[in-house]
Amino acid sequence: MGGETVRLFVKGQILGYKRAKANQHNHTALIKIDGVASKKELDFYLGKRIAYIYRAHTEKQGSKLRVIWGKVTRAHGSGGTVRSKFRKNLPPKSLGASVRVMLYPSRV
Amino acid sequence: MPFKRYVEIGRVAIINYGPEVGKLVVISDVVDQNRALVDAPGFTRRVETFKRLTLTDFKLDIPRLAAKKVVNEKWAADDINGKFDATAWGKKLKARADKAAQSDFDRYKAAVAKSKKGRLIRAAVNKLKK
Amino acid sequence: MAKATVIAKGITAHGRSKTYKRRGLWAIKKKHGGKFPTTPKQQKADAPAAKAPRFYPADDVAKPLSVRAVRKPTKLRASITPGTVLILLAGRFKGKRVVFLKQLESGLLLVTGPFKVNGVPARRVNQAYVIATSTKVELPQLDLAKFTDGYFKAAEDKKAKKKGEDDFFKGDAEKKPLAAEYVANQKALDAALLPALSADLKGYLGSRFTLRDGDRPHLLKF
Repeated sequence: MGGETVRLFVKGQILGYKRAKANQHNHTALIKIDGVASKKELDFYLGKRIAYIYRAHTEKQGSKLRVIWGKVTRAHGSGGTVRSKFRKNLPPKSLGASVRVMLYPSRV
Repeated sequence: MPFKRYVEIGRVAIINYGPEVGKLVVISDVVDQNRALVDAPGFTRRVETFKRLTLTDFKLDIPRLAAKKVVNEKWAADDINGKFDATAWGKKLKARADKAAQSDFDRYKAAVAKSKKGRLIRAAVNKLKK
Repeated sequence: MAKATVIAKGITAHGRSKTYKRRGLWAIKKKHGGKFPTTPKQQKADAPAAKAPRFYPADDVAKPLSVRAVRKPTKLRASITPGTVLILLAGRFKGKRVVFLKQLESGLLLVTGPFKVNGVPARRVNQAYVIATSTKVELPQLDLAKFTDGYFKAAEDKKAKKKGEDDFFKGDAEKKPLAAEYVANQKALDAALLPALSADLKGYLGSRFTLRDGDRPHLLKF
């Protein structure tokens, strides 16, 4: 996927898992999407697909890059953070990493 | 440099926060050192804190707690909206709003125009360099 | 009219008299003076007497249940109408701006570049992978009857054919040229569509959409 001139995704950061003071729920990850500062702006991103792309040591299908897909499920608070579910729960090493928030499925 | 825009009755200001952001209002009364009563044509008179107001150069000649009718008349007579739109500040706000309202096609056309302009300028500069 | 409980296939919980009451047949009878209304039988052409089959299958053959559910057609987004310029979001043509022609039976959208302008042939896309812009092209009369789901399905099937081991070792054979008919259809479509596009629009369709630094898609107007 390298060398593409067209970018059709927005960057986001993995903040951590959904959690309370003592309990952590690994099945839901919290993501901060670039440039979204309020719940009102967030509506556009609900349901959008997210790709967590990472490098692995062993090559599979001719590439060392792998991806875990997920989607935006709902808002988390009112500051523009979202909750998201991934097909496989995100690994702990992904915390703080960036993800791609795709523009599809589109509603515009 | 001394201040040129004062908080005073009749001072026109812009609301810079909240749902009515960008709206021109006039100070009708000063409540205390933090808040003022603001009014404008087609606007429900209310108290606004100074943090959410930005003062402009314009001032209306109205009495304290002026009636809506007086505000409407003076506003229209001084053509506040027109005058503000003619200032650099007003033009900047307008340009910003126009840019935000551009469609995808408009953005494409703007980009093409910009590159064309750049090409012309470059050609002219190169000519002068020789 | 409450539905009778089905005990088994073809057997209901209600008997003959109960069904009579339930269906309100007595009311119909009363209305027509104690008789059921009849319609005169239509004279049918004499069909040749069908011979009863000589053999019956020994085992009961399970009859498939009739499916009464009707699949709802995919609802097209209000922002997409024939002539709308769409931005493709994924796949080999991502970022390309294309013209929407019509919605196909399957609910997919029929779009084209046109091919002459940006290299996107007539193809099907799901509306979830598309951004509708506010720009509309005034579409001329187009004959789109040829472009059905079947038309594309055939093309895809040929492509998807699994490579045998032999093919694999031989490597990719030289690219097969497209069917002449397919090329001709595209050419005809382009020829019909091109006069409707201004020079500006052609340039627009020829360029790709991309997000740049600082672009916020949720704030952008399309």
